[in-house]
Amino acid sequence: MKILVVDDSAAMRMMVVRALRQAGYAGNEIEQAEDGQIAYDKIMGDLGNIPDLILCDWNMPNMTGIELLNALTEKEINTVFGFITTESTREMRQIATDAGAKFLIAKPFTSETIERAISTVM
Amino acid sequence: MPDYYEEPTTKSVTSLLGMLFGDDLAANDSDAQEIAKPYVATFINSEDKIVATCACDLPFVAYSGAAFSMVPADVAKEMIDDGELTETFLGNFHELMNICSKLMLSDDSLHLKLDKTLQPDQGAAEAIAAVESPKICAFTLDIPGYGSGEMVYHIAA
Repeated sequence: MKILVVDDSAAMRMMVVRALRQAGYAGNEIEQAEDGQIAYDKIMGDLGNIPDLILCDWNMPNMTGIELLNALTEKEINTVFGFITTESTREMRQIATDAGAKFLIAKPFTSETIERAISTVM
Repeated sequence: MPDYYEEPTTKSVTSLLGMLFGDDLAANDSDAQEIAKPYVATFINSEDKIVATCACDLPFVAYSGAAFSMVPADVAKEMIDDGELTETFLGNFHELMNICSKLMLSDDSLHLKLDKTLQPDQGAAEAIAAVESPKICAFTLDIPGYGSGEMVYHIAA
C-alpha cells in the first residue's frame, strides 16, 4: 500500500509517519508532501502509482486539504482520503464528509486513533 | 449563544500536551502574570480581533520544539544559551500553538483560531495588550527528557 502524508509542518509529518509505523503500517510505502499543491503535483505526475491512502492536514498554504480533495475528485481520482487537523468542528466534519473524506482525525492523535480510522475504511 | 472561551487547566494542558510529549509531561499552575521576552501566539475570532494570546518563554519554545522534532535536549539547550531559535523550531512553535488553540475551545464555547506566532521583537508585548479584560492562566510545564518552561494565557473575558 502507498500512503501519502500531507502537512506543511515537517514535525507533524514526522509524527504522522511515526504513528503509522506504530500502528502497523511500517512495511508500506510512505511518501510526504509539504502542502496540497505539492501533493497534487506528485499524484498527477505519477498517475501509474497513485497513493492508496492520503492523510492530509486541512489548513496549508498554496492548496488546502479540502481543495486537494476536490481537485482529485474532479480528476476522478478516488483514493481513500482522511483529514488530520487541529480544527474539527461539526461544520468541518460535514464539509469533509460531503467532499468524500472517509474520516477526520483531530490533532493531537495517538497511533491507536490512526489505526482505528484506517482499519475502519480499508 | 456561546459567550465565552474555555480556560486551560492543568488537567486539559496535561492531557493535550501529554499526547504530544508523553504521559509523563507535568503541568502545574504558575503565579506568573507575564513573561520577559515572550514568544507569543495570537488567536483571533471570526472578526479577526485578537481575543487570546499564549506567551511562552524561550526554554519552553526550545524544549517543546526539540521534543516535537525528536532531536536531543542538548540542541534546545544550545539555542537557549544563544537566545535564538532556528526556523524549524519557530515552525514547531507555530504548529504547537495551533494545537493549543483547542485548550480554549469546546462545543459550547465561542470560536477562535490561531492567527500568528510572534518572536519577542515582533510586537509580542503589544499583541498581549490587545486582549481586552483578560483572564490569565499560567502554567509551568516540564517536558519529560527535555526541560521546563512557562506558558501564560491571556483570554478575553
